[in-house]
Amino acid sequence: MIFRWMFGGIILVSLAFVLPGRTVEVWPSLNAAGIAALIYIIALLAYILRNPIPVKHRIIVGVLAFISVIALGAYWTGMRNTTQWQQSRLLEIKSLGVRGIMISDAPIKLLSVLEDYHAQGKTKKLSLAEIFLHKYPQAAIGSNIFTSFGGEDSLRIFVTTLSDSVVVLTASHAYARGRTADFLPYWGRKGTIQERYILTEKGVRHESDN
Amino acid sequence: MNQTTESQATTATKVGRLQTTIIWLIILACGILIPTIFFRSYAAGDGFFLFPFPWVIVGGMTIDHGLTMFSGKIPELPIITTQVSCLVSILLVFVISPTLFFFGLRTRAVERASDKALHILRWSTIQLVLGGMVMLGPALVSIPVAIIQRNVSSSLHESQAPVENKYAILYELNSVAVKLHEYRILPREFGGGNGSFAGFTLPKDLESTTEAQYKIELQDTLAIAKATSVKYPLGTITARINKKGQFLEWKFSELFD
Repeated sequence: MIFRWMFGGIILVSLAFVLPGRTVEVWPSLNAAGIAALIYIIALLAYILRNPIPVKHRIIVGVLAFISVIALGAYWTGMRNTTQWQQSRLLEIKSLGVRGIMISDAPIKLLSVLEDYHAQGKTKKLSLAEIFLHKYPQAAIGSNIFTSFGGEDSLRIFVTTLSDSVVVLTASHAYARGRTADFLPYWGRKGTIQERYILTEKGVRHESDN
Repeated sequence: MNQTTESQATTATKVGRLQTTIIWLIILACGILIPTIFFRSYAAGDGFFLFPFPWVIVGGMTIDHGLTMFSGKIPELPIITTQVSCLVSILLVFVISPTLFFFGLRTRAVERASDKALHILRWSTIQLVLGGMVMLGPALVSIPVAIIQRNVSSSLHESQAPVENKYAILYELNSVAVKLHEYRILPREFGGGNGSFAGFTLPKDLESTTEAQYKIELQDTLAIAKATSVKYPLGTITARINKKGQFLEWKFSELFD
């Protein structure tokens, strides 16, 4: 009988473990196996704790088993929650840092254009686009004007609109997570951060796309 | 006759003592061997491991994945050996050892109920000892660890929350600086200060956000922006901003320092 139980338990827990499929995180498999193991232990206890085991012993074993399951479960779920929370905090900090770099770079570029534009007085000889191109001669629609702090950088600031009255800079990051996972950015992976800075003669408008 | 009975009783006592000694030796050996096997295989590194708390290994992998994504790489699928190790560890602690332990317990109760003479050293005892050590060891360890972990987790949450608030406020102060710079650049007909900060007021959406409340003090060519956290009223950040919208100085209250 013991081997039947053991064999049944192994099959049940192993099936539960492989059921979620092979994913990057092992948590779904581990959690499914844990639930299956809990069901197995409850069934095993129900089978074992009957006559001729005295009622007093049944209560003691039952209570000890309950405490053990609660302790192991608390340790298990505590570890899962803490590590998943730490992972999400890491990515959150990354996103905040990336947004911080974006806002301290793109608007300054546009405001320097705006400053020169209004410095012309009431009669404007040069348009916003012309001043922008004067400052960034290499710029064209789709070009990146972000100067990396050194070496390879995953941040890009693209010129996405360049007309006499409007200049739009779209800041994207290769992998820093944005708010919506389905968002398709101008550049980078799906679901990544995207901020837009729109320059008109009235000022710079900031739109956070993701 | 009496001498024969006494001699048999003495032999039975000696055998009983020997069996008890053997049982204790088995318990001692298991007590040393089982943790050694678990921890040696865990400490061995990449290969197959047996660890009574596989969720600790998986938790470590979650943090690793976070760091991988932080550096812009895509985390890879875990190797089959790791998955098999986790599964075997679960089976050992949650299936095999409880089955041995509880069946040992039941068999002993059944044996006691039948009036047969019983050896101390019997299969049900070994089952009970082996199963009990593998099953109850991790369970006993888990009780204090779960309590400690809960405390650590809540203190982590408490210490991390003001940090997030601080970074969010720093980001919003950048927006304040951009608005100030823009105001100074814009001519009066566009609602600007025409080269000066005079008359600048914070836009409504920046005056009070979910993170902080902002106040601005205007000086000749400088502005001093003060943010008071909404979530942690003791958290304040004061920044001096020049006419170009650049930060000259930061001051943080003790909570944010």
